[in-house]
Amino acid sequence: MSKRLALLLATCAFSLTGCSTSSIYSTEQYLFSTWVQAVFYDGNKSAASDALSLLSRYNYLADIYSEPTDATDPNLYTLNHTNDPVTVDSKLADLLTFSQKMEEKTKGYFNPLIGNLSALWKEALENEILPSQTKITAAVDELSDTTDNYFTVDGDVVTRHGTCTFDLGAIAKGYALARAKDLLTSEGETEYMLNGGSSSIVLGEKPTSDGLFRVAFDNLSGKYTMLKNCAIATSADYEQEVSIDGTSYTHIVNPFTGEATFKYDLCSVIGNDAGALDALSTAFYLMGPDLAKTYENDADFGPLQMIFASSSTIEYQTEGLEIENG
Amino acid sequence: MAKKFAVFFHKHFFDCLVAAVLVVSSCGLMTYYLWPRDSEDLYASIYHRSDCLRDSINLSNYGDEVQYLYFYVAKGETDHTDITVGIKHNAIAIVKSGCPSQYCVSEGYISDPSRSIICAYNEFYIFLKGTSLTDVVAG
Repeated sequence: MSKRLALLLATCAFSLTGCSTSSIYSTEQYLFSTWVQAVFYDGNKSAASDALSLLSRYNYLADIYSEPTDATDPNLYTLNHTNDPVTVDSKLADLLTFSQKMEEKTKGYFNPLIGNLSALWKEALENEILPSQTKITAAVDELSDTTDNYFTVDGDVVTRHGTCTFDLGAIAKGYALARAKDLLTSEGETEYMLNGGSSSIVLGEKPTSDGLFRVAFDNLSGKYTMLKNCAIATSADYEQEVSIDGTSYTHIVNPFTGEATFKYDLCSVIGNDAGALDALSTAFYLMGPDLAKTYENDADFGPLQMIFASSSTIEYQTEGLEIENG
Repeated sequence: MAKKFAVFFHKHFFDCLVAAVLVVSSCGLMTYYLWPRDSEDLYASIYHRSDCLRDSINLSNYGDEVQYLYFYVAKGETDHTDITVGIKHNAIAIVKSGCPSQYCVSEGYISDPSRSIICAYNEFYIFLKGTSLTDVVAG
C-alpha cells in the first residue's frame, strides 16, 4: 500500500510541475520617433531594461532636433551646429564611422550628410508645398561637393566640414538595435524580439520547437515568412506618402537627384546586421531591385534576402526566400 | 472491510492527509491555469508621440455598433489636429485624421494583435494586444 501512496504522491508532484507557465515580458519605449517594443520570452526584465537603456542612449546621441541636455555630452545636434572638432561618446564616433562605411558600400545612395536635403523635404511634406527646384538643386550640389562637404572621425573627435548637416535617420535605429543584440548575446539571452516600430526588427528565437517567428509584411495582406536569429529592415512609404498636385512624394530622398518620389510600397531586407540593413533598405529602395540584388551575396553583409512590393504585390523577392500565404 | 479501512487510515493518517492536500491543490492549480480567461480578449492602447492617451481598451467589451473617441492632438510645434477613432467589437480604426495621405484611415478596422495603425504624420499610434498567429509585422 505504501507503494501506491508513493505513486499517488509522485503523480501529484508531476501535476504540480505541469502548472508552471512561461512568463513573457513585453515592454515599449518611445525612441527614434517611434515605439520600440522589447519582448523577452524568458521574462527577463533586467535584459529588457539593459537593451532599452542602450537604445535610449543612441536615441540621444543621434538626435538632430534637440539640443543636448548636458553640454558636456554632445550629440548630433551639436555636430550640426559647429564646424569645430568635437569630442563625442565613442558610441557616436563608431556610429559615424559605420555610416561612412555604409555610404561607401552603397555608392552614396545612403548619405549621412543628407540633413539639409531631407529637412527641405520634411518641411515640404508637412506643409504640402513642393520645395523650389532652385533649393533642391542647391542642396544636391552641396551634397555632391565632397571636397568641401565631408566629416572626419579621429578616435572620438568628430569634425564636420562645410555646410552639409548630419541626418542618421536611415541608420541610427538599426545600428542601435544591432548593438542591443550584441549586448543581449553577451548576456546569454537567446529568446527575444526587438521591434523598432516595424521598420527595424531583431529576432532571437521563440521558445518553440523550431524557434521560428511568423513575420508578416504590412500592406501585403496574408503574406508571411518564418525567421529566427536575424534582422529585418524595411523602407516603406505608404504610411508617409503625401500627394501634392497629383504626384506622390515620400520621406526617402535620393541624394543624387534630390527627388522624393514614391516608388515602392515597401522594400524589406533580411540579414544579420540590423545596422547595415537599415541603411541598405533605404539605399535599395532608391536603387530598385536590379541594382539591389547585386548585393545579395556581398561578403561584407553575408547572405541578404529582399522583397520589393508595389500596389500590394511583390515585384521582386530573393530566390529561396519562402513567402507563404495564410 | 470497514474495519480494515479504519485500521489503514489510523495507521497512515498523516500520509493520507498529505496526499489529499496534494490532490486538492493540484486540481485547483490545474483548473486555474486551464480555465479560459481574459487572455482571449483584445486590447487597444492609443498613443500620441510618447503620451499614452488611452491604455488597454478592452475591444471585446464593445458591440457591433461603432463608438467614437475624439482626440485633439498637437501637430508640429504650434498646430493641432482632430483625430477620430472608431471602436466596435474586437476592432479599432482611425476614421478621421488631419493627415495628407489618409493612409491611417485607409487601413480600416484592424483586429489582429500583430498589427498596428500608425499615423506617422501626426505621430499617432494604435497598438493591439491579444493572441495572434503572427509574431511581428515588418513595414
